[in-house]
Amino acid sequence: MIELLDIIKRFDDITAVNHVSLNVADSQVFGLVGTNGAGKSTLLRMVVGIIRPDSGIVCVDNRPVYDNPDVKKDIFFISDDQYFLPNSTPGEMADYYEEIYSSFDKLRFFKLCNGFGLDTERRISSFSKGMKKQVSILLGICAGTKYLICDETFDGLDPVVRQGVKSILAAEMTDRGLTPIISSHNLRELEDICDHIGLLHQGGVILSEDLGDMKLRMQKVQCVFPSDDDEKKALEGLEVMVHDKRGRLHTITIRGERSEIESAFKRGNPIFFEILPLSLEEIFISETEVVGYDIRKFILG
Amino acid sequence: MTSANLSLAEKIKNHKKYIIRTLWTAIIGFVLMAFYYIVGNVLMLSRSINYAKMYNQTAEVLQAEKYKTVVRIMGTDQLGFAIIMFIAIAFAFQGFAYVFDQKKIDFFLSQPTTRGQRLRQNYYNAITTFVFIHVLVCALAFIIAAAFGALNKYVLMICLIEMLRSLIFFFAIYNISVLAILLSGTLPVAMLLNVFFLGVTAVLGYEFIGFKRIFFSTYYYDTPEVIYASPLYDRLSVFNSMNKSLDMEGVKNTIVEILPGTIDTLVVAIVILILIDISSRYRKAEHAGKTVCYLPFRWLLKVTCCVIAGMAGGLLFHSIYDYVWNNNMYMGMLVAMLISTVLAAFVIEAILENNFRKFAKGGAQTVMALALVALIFVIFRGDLLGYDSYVPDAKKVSSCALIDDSSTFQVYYENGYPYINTQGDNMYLTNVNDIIEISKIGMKTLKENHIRTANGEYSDSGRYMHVLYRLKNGKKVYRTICIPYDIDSALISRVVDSEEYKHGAFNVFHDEKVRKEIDNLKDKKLTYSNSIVSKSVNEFDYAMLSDAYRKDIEENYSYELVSNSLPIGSITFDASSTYQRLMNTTTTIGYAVIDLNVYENYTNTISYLKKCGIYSENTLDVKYIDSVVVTNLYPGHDANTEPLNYLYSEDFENIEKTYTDEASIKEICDNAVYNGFYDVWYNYRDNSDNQYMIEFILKDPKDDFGTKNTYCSFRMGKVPDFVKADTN
Repeated sequence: MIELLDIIKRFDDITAVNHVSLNVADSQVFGLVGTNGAGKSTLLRMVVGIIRPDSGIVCVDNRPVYDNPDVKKDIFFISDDQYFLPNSTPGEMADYYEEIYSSFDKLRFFKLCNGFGLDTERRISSFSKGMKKQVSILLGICAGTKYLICDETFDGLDPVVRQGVKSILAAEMTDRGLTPIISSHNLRELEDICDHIGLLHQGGVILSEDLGDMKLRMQKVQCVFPSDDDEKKALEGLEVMVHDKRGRLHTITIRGERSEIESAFKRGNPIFFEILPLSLEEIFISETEVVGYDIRKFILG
Repeated sequence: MTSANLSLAEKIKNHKKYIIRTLWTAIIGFVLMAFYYIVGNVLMLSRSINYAKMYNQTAEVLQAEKYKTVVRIMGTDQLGFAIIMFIAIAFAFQGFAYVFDQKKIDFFLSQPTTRGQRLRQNYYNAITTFVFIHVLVCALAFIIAAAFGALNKYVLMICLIEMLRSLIFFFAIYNISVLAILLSGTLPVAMLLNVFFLGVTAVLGYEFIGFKRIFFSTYYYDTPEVIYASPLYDRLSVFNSMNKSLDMEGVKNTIVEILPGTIDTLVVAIVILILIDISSRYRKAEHAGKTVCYLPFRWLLKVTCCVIAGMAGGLLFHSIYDYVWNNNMYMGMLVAMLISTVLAAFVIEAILENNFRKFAKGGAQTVMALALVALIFVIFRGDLLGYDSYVPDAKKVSSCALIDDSSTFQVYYENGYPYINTQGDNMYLTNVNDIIEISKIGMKTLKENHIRTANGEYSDSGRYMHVLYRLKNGKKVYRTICIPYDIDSALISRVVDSEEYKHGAFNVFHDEKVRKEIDNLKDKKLTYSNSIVSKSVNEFDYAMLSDAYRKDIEENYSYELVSNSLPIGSITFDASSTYQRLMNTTTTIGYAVIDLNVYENYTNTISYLKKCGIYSENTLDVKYIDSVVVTNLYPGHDANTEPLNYLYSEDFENIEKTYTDEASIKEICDNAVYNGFYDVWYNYRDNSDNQYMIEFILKDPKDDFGTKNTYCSFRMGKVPDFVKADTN
């Protein structure tokens, strides 16, 4: 289990991570989403022990991670901008990691590379961006570590490869209890594979919940009210996150259980009422809008 | 198969791949070293062999040349240190430059290692790789040298010592480069910082030496200055193994010579290693991209650079105005220093901020640098450290020496280095109190002269000499002094008349090497010259001459003699050197030049010269003289009483008068003194007239060079009236 306890990280006068506490349970896919500059990469770098928090502590399996090689043996980090040794080939990188991670499985790496159509004897510098990412992911998977930390790693992969990687990750989770932490802007991708989502905004955690729970606790309603009084009655006591009105048609995102919302709306005798499925992207937009990150600000200024 | 099952061979193979990928400059380094040490040896040794064939060198000379060639390539004279420096810097940047790039930081620091382990691993990789390629290349070079027959145990020892020294040098330069990297956040700044670290101590050292020369009247220009904490200086300061014999003594001399610098380099390396350890603990991943990581260091860096630039500005100003320097120029020098400091502050700030428009930032550091530069100026200008008045406590002095640079006793050896020791090496005066007393008077006189000169006033007030105090703690302190002509003669006699002074001042007491090698010298010639006549002889016994001269010094030399009378003649001994004979070449490579002044009462020497048939009586004999030209340099003035600065500032039209009649020539001869044989103790101010120059035109040349004239002065107060009347 990875625990972040009241982490603060400042870069000069900018607070990149502000009092963040998170738990990442074992054998779950943890998705880290957040606005640009929210502190996702900084947080992941602290998780893998590259950056030391100014205060707070990051523990992996109850052991502090910073400057602790014993803990780091269990973690493989794939940064958003991967580095490979100069002029190296995938095969040479496997040789390199073989020295570092005792459980690195070189044979499997070669096999996977073959499966993904990657030439292990070709220089990585001649690979496309997506191919480099594939090499990184495969190296990470074959390292045999308990935790695989991916910083925007899936962005740029083609759908087939993405699906292939997802399948391998799922198999690794089942076989040896791999715990991937994935940060991404592509919320639809995360939605497919993540069990748990942490949402960061301006260095703080807005929410950290199981994706299923999150969807259960937030509803998107489309309805038409007979009058404004009915609307007031229906929404009274509900935590409205986003309320959009086009003509008489209301689209409202509300925090709460489905049954609770249904009974509340009955008070307003809506002419039309429907609960729509909520995507992760909508949850993201709703949650960030609550804390002032409103997409409309970009459009309207 | 996972890496837990890797065999040792596989691990070594993987490590080799890693080294090639991460320290690929090792390949370039290997090629450069191989070219320098291996190909260099082959080329130079074959050149020596060809040279020997072309110039018919003996087998003995060729063998000596071959040994020297190997020492030149691989010993203390080698240029390979430049390649080693390049490798050290390249390894440091390759090993640690990841700290400038977030991508690389992510890669390396996410791996299961600590910062300390990574640091140690980089050190291990760099040092083992360097040692491997250096030892391999040198071993191959030794094999080649041995195959050429150019290796003996002494050559091997010198080269092995140099290899060890190279390793220490590599270690120091590597450490300096690593520190530069760890203190900066970008590659260009790290490179600049590296240059700064490599040169800062040497530059500051030379600047302070320059300031001493400018501000301190008593600074001895030949003071053996040592610059500390500069591996580059340590390496370059010992660069003359060729001057040493290739035997056990030569090996020992090499060790003695390189030891202080090597210890200094090692100390620097260790201190910097500690600084690296400290800075690596505080180094954060987020420092990547910053110019300088730590604020206190940024202050230190900027202030130091500004001070260096300020002092350099002062030195430049002085060098421009050196020949027209006066007291008013000091203020100009201060202004130049302050302007240089401010300009440097602007440039440094623009670099550190990576933005030219922010050149004026960091005012506090600039003010601090200005204050420091001004303080340095004030300290030197006001001599606040008491340099010009320093005399050591007599109890702390073991011995002293009075050094003058007038004597010629040089026996040049091979590459032109004299092997005869100097007065500083030979003279051990134990009457310390007298020396200190003389020094105090001499320093005071010199300072007064300095002030007068700076004000445009010139005077000849004494003898310029240098005093050396050998302190009991091993330190040597040098000062220049001006011993006034009117100094208490009893005080100076106690020193000059002492056996310690005589034995230290005259190299004939230390000419064992010349006596030993005299038989090997060819074309040796002994010449005796007086004011007019010069005679030479090729067959003579140097030892007998030396013994006679020694005896005269011991019996007849005194302050009383040398301060009031000039030498009547001079002995010149010159010869080709041993090396030239061995080389069997006509090229003049080495020779001995020895000049010995002869005074009237040097009966033993004169007797030997007579025996050799080269002595001539010291008379300006009318029979030799065709005519005399007397020149009054300052017509209408009295140069012996009027201030010299006044005379120097005016243009005078000299008046010449030629005398051909015997009576006039005789009177001039009787009152003339030949001052071509210089002696430091002679009182030129009070004994020789400064206004008239006498040129005697000879009937026939009396020396080997066909010289037809000789120049003299009148004795003080002995200018004939007819000369005064004719030339004023």
